[in-house]
Amino acid sequence: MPRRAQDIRVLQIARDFGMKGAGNPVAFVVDRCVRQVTTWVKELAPSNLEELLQTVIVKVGLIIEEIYADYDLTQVSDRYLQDGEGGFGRVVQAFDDRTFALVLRLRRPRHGCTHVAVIDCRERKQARRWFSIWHEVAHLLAEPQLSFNFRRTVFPDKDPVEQLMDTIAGELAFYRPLYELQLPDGTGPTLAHLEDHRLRLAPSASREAAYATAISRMGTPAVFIVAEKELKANQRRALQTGLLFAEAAPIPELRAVRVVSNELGQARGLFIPRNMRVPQSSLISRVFYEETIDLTDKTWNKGEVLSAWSDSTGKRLTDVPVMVEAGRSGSRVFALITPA
Amino acid sequence: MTISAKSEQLGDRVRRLRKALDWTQDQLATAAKVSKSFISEVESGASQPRGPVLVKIAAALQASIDYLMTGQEPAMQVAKPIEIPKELASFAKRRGVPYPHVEILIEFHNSIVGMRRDGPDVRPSEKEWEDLYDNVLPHIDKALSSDKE
Repeated sequence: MPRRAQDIRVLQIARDFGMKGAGNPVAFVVDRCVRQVTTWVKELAPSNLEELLQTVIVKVGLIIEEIYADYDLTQVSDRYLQDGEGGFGRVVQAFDDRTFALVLRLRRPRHGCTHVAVIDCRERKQARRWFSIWHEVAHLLAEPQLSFNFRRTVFPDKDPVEQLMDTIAGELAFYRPLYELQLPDGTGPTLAHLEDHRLRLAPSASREAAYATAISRMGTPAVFIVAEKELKANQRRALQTGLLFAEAAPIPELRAVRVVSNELGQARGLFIPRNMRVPQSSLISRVFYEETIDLTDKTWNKGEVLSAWSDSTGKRLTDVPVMVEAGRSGSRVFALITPA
Repeated sequence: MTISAKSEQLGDRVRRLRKALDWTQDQLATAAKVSKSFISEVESGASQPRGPVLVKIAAALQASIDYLMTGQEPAMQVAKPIEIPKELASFAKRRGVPYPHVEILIEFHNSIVGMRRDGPDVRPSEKEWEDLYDNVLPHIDKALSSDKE
């Protein structure tokens, strides 16, 4: 069982929801949150994921403050401080490079709202806005009685409670009944289908998250890949722990940094290990090095075999003929792999 | 004439919250993506918003649905701090911070109940407690006195 499932606070949240005996507290809490949202969907009938988010926000009683400039942060903090909400005295300081969002409990409720989420949308953080809001909403869904009035503990890596919130957010940000990709009869998925689906139902979500979710739930075999230059995992660790100095640093290579293979895809042998090097012969490599047009304007297709992919020991993937569609998204390449 | 909370209807609350934001009906209509005439009907009690429209109006007014429907504020349960971090104790001793200030400083600190970040949360240093205290000092007495009300 993953560490977060054994965390005492995660277990307590599950117990607050009524979990008795053994079981996976993470799955239990996620299921309860989805059920709660489903009752609100029936009551208030949101028609897309944007409306769903708004619905959940006004049901849990959360105020959202979005920060697009340093000035916004100071102004928001000052406004709440003037009202005696002293927690905002920490907010400017708390938003370092690694913090994307905070949720604060108000000392006095305002028009039914008990919490404020401050979402950092400045520069590179804007790409994570959608998920950051859902993450903070998840706190209020999962901990309605605020049993999470804990003194925050320092963990060697990410806090298990925050990981639980990421899991809830991941499920709700693409709430299944409102995010089912329907393909035209007899056609396989394309990057254009995925982008159209995202723009219609979740335009604020990042392409990567939206495509990955659609593929993972699709009823046809497919693999979604994000490729960019990256080090091998052990090289990255060595750099982080100071075992390698910057001068001797290895050179990043084009790798499949994210791979989402759905169940049907895996059953057909469509599987690529995460962080595997992209073969030079692959269309993905050509698009990465030679093309600059965004995938919404043009993508490329090519028939390949998965056995062209090999690891550093020379071991090759299975000999499955596939169709590869690849397109550029910023500094990365997004690709779809389907059976040929 | 003021409307007592008991007799206040949904339309009255929409009007009150709109005016608190210093908005015209036009501005609320734009923020909620509905027509101005609909806002006017809601405020006069001629229309009852439902479903997604009710959600949009609540969101624009930064109010919860329950509050718009009932006018009731939820009860807040705030646990009193029971442990003084050593970094705070050290700073408080050095600066001679009175105990009620120390107590409310912990409450302010703990009011951040969730944080989305890459990597671990960081335990505040003595300097960070001092910075927080200096930031909130002008507002502490107001917060303490409002607690007594």
